[in-house]
Amino acid sequence: MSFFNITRRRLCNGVVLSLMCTACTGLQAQVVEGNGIVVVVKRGIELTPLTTDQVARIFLGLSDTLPNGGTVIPVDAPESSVLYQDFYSKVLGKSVAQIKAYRARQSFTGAGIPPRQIASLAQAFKQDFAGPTVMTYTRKRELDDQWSIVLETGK
Amino acid sequence: MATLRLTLLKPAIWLSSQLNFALKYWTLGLGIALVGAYLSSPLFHQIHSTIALATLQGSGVQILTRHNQLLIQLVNLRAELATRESPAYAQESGAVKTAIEGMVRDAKSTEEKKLSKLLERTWTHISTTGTEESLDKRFAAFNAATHTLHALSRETARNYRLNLDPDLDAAFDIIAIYLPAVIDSTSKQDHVIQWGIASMAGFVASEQMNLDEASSTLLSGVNQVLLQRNGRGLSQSVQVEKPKESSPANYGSGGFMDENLQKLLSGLRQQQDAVDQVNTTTGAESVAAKRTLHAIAQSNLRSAQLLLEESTRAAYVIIDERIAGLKIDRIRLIGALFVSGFLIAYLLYAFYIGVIKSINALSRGTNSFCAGQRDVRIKLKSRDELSLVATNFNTMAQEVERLVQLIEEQNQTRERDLKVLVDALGLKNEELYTVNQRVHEELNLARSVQLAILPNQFPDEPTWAAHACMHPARELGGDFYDCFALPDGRYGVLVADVSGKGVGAAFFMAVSRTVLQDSALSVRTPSEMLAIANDLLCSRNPMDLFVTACYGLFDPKDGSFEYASAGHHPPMVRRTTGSVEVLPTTNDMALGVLQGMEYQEHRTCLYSGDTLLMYTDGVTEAFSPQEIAYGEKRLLSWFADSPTQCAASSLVDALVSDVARFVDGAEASDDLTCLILCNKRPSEQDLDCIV
Repeated sequence: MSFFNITRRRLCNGVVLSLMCTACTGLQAQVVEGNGIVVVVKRGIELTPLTTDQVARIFLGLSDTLPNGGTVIPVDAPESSVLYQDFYSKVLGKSVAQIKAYRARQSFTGAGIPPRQIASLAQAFKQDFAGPTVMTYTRKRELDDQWSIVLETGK
Repeated sequence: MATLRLTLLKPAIWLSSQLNFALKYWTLGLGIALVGAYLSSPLFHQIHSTIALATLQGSGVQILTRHNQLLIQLVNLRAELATRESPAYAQESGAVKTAIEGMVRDAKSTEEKKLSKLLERTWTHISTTGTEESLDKRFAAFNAATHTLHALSRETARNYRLNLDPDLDAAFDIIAIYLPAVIDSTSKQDHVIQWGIASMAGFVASEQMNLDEASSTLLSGVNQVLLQRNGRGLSQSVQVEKPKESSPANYGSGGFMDENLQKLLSGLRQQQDAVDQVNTTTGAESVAAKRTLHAIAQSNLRSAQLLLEESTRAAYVIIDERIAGLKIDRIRLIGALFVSGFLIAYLLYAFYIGVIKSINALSRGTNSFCAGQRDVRIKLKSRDELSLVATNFNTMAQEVERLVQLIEEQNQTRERDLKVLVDALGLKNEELYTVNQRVHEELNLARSVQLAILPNQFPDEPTWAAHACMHPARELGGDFYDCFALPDGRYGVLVADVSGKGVGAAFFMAVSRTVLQDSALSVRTPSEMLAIANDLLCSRNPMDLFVTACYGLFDPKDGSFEYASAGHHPPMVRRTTGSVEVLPTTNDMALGVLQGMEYQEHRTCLYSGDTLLMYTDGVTEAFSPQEIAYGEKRLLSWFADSPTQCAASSLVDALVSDVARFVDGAEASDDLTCLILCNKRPSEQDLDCIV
């Protein structure tokens, strides 16, 4: 019966995360004007704008599939950066400590692999991921024309 | 009801009527065979399907075996994260990559394809992640791989677990879920503690709860699969291909598995204690506790692997036993069908032989009886309806024999009587023949006498000629003719026909000829002659016969011809011009009927070249085979076409020949008499004849 208990526990985790994602949806308006965070993919990928819930599921390792059927790989900013803290706190509504605990559980149980952490957008662009689409986030003012916005969380 | 039954059976009755016994029994046997095949085909199909499902389950066990091999490889690689640059690590990595590619290739369901692709991507992430990544992240990547592999194994087990056998389903759960979870959790606890991954330390203790739950489930599952089967004994037969490396020496006994299970459960409890010891100690004690935990974890890992191999073998054995059992069932079914078919064929053939034997006996008996062996009797040993036929035949033969004997006896009696009668008849026949000969001779004599009294010499003068003939229908005739010279130089010609035939008519003809000739000599005219003769014949006619006659007087000096007829055919004259005249006569009474009759007299002239014909009804009433009378018309035609310059005898012969051709051998109905008188005087010497 251990298998069923494990499954039940993982289902509970999923429900909690879903509630977290729903809470994140209401936080979009709190983004500071001009310092907004945008979620981006490489330009040239045809992708309709995503919802906050969809972005949250991707970055929390609950889904790796885009609406167009393609596979996506999330890329995080460095854990120590303000952008990281802002993204998870203002977009996903979770503190860094909560995300750290979530990542630890995820890592131990194998439910997912924490996203790679890249220092800059340019470094993320150079990542050679064969096939899957790279998705990351940045300040809107730092965005260049190599990226397409799939979610804009503030002005 | 009987009519309905006959109507329903009509097609079968018709078919039966068209076939001989051999074909009937062949048809019956074929029908039974078809019904048997039809009824048994679902059983064969069921067995075949179940074997296919069991084989499919065997394939599932093989796939799960590969999954578990991959899991052990991943666990080993995870254990060597710190030394991943070693050659052993690279070699194991290549094997893992090949195994994962095979899983992607062999995935069948959508979920399996999805999970195998995810596993491939995870492995790609692992293989492309260098030491620049933190240990906990690399550890997390391996955990993701094992986690995905668990999900893939569960999906495979779900697809191949066909719920045919509870023991086999339990084995699937052990192989696909419980033991892989124990292997992963046991090693994961050890790895986290040995490497000091602080972020995951809190999960190690909670993982022990998972191990405890897995242990209890594993215990019940193994008990179901192994311990219960030990009571029946594990079969050694192996039909599904199995990994050779998973063949412990004491496989099949069940004891080894039970020992491993107990060892594993005990080890898991020790591992719990060791984890607690690590978490509650510090310094050197903590290091010693970690070392102890590592040793226990390694031992548990080996025990779990051995138990996994043994469980896999047990699953194969269960499948093999099931397939073997199904094949035995199939052989039994085939055997039962074969035996049933043989028994049915044996019975049908025996029935056929029995019936044919009875029929042959009936046929032989019937043939012998028909060939004359009336003492033949048919004896049948059977008790069927054919024996009733044989009994009826014997009864019939007995009755026929009795009747034949009776008939033979009667025949013999009648033959004897007949012989007596035939002998008597022979004597009578001889007498009759003698009498007949005598009568015949006398009749011939009478015929000769009759013909002798008729003139056979006829006048054939230079100026005229006469000729006549008479052909009786029987030995004696009633016709007659005469041609005689009178004292005054004239010639009397006569044709007469006595009524009736035979001896009486012949006698009356002789009397009539004498009377007529005597009368002709005593008078001068034909009418007087006929009147006198009539009176004389009437007085001498006790048998009431009568005579028709035509009598004429020809005077060669002037060619005159005076004639009178007593009920006779009128004479004919063919003139030199070729025309034929039927001379006029009066319907006077025949001679011998009434006395005192008077007769009319007629006169004509026969000129140069004229021919006179006098005849009886034997000419005109001669009948052909088609019953057609020669007739007066045909006679007139012949007379008109006859030669004008021929002798009287030739004309008589020609007329007789023409009548003979006409009757064409048919029996003559009456005497035939004709008389021809020709005036041969040249025309320049023609005298004046006054009619």
